[in-house]
Order: sequence, then C-alpha cells, then structure tokens
Amino acid sequence: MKKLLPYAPALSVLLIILAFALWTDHTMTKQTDRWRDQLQQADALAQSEDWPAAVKTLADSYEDWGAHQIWLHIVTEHDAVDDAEAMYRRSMAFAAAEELSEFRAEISDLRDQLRLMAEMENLSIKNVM
Amino acid sequence: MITALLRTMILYFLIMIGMRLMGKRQIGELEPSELVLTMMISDLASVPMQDFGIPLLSGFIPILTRLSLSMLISQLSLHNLRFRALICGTPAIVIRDGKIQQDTMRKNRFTLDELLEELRGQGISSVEDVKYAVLENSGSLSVLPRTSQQPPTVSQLGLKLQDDVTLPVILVNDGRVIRQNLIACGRDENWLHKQLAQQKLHSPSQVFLLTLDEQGSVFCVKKEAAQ
Repeated sequence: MKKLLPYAPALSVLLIILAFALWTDHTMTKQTDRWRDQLQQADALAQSEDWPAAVKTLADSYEDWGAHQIWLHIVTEHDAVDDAEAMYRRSMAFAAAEELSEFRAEISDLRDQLRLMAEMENLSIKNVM
Repeated sequence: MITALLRTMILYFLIMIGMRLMGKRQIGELEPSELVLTMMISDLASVPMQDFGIPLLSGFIPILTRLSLSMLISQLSLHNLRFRALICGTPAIVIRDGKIQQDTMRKNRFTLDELLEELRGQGISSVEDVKYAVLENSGSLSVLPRTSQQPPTVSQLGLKLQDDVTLPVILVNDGRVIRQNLIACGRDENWLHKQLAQQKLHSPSQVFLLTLDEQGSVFCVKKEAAQ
C-alpha cells in the first residue's frame, strides 16, 4: 500500500477526470432526453392543432433549457449550444405563427441537434476515432 | 469530456512511442516523456486561448491528463528499471577504448560525422584519444578521454593545496537584504553595516550584490548610481 502512495496524486487526478467525464456523459444524455421529450410533446400538441398548449410546452422547455446554459457552455462546444438556442427561438416563432410544417421541421432539427450534443459526450469508439 | 480524456491518452503514448523510435538524436536536452509533455502542453493551452467557441474545460482536461500521465510515468520509471529503460532508453557506448562501436552507432542512427563533430566540440581531434564516449538518453554525447589526454589533477601531481572552493551566499540582492541568509551565516545587521562602512556605503540600497563565502570573504558590487 505504501508503495502505491507516490502514484496517488496522479491517479487521483486521472480518476477525478474519468468520473467527471462519465458524469457529464450521463447528465448530458439525461438532460437532452428530457428536452427532446418536451419537444416531442409540443410537436404532438401542434399536430392536434392545440397551438396554445404547444406554445406553452415549448416555452417551458426553453425555460428549462435556458436554466442549464452555464453548465452547457462549460461542458460542450459553444457553437452546438448556440445552434440549438437559435433553433429553439425559430421553433417558438413558428409556433406563435401556427405554421405547422415549418414548426415540425424545426422541432425535428432541434431534437436531432440535442441528440448530437449528447452523442458528443458519449463514450464510444466513434467519438474517440 | 470522455473523448478528450481518451484521445489525450492515445495521442500522448503514440507521440512518446514515436519519439522513442526516432532515437536519441532527435531528443536534445529532455527525456522522451518530458519532451512530449513540453511539446503538447504549449499547443494545447493555445487552442482554448484563441478559440472562444471551445469550452475552457476542453483545454484543462487534456493538460491535466498529460501532467498526470507524465507524473505516473516518472514514478514508474523511478521504481522499475525495466520500465525506465523502455520509456527513456539506455545510454549507448559508441566509443570503447578508442574503438568506434559501429553496431551501436547503426542501432542509434548516429552518423560518423555527428560523432566527429561532437568530439571536435569537446576539444578532441582523434577517436583514439577517447576511452569512452557514451550517447546519453537525452541525446548528448559524454566523452571520457584517456588519462594521458587529460590535464593532470592536483592529487595526480601529489600537491597539497588548501581547498578553496566555497559557495558564496547572497546577503544583498539589488539593494534588498536577504535576512534569512544573513541569519543562516550567523551574521546580523550590525555586521552588515560595518561591511558597508568599509566599502564607504551607508545603506544596503546602494549595493547591487553582496556575498559572503564560507571562509568569511565578502564580495561587494556597488550600484552604478552609488559609485
């Protein structure tokens, strides 16, 4: 045990980084899944022509998304976050104008963008390569 | 984050293997692991510094990973000689008893021109004058000339000389008194002021450098404005 003591600082740093990376992976997947579910819900409401509920669901989702901006800017590329932010705003504009086809296309893009953001943090050979 | 961690580890070891395969000539003053660390950290730090679209953490994590890996490798090298030989290599004797070890030179891709250049740089004109020449892990060549080619030492001449090699301690550095050193030398401010008075100075602020050696000799350089 005493022999391992000199290795402790370096190993501790590596383990902390590994734990933080795995936690980021898990949290990012969990958060983006939640936002994607909210967007799917808004999409379903829009399809059933319930625009006030769709606008409200989307606004709630945007608020939830906005509350995590600092964390998102710490862990992921700012361009990816900014793109998603722009998509949220466009979706809200289409929802307010009750333009179903544009709204659905934008929501679909936004859900894909959120999926990609989670994927970027995943532990996978594809990402490492 | 996990991608950054794994990529950093892979690239670190890849570059280190590359440095080891390139041989000692490419290394210069540092050991392979130190060179890789120095090379990569400076590059890594500049990326998040210039590109504001990248999270700062993307620079932190690879740097911390590399520093930790380097610390681990240093510790492993300290405890395990085989691992040290694998990572840092082993010194290679390129001249033994005046004879060039051609096989060793070939293995280390060390050319005859480079060998002769290094010997000339150390003031040796003939390979026969060299007892040993060792190509160190850092890439430098250590040359040990034959005794007949070395200047005689005091002990070889059988002379009895007083050992006058001393380590001077700095007591005043650019006008500032280093009290810690003054106390360590067993002196005080009164002694210092007496020394300054002998130099016709009133205050330590007029001194650029003042040192005291083990034999009690004081060396004083006045500030140019005070002279």
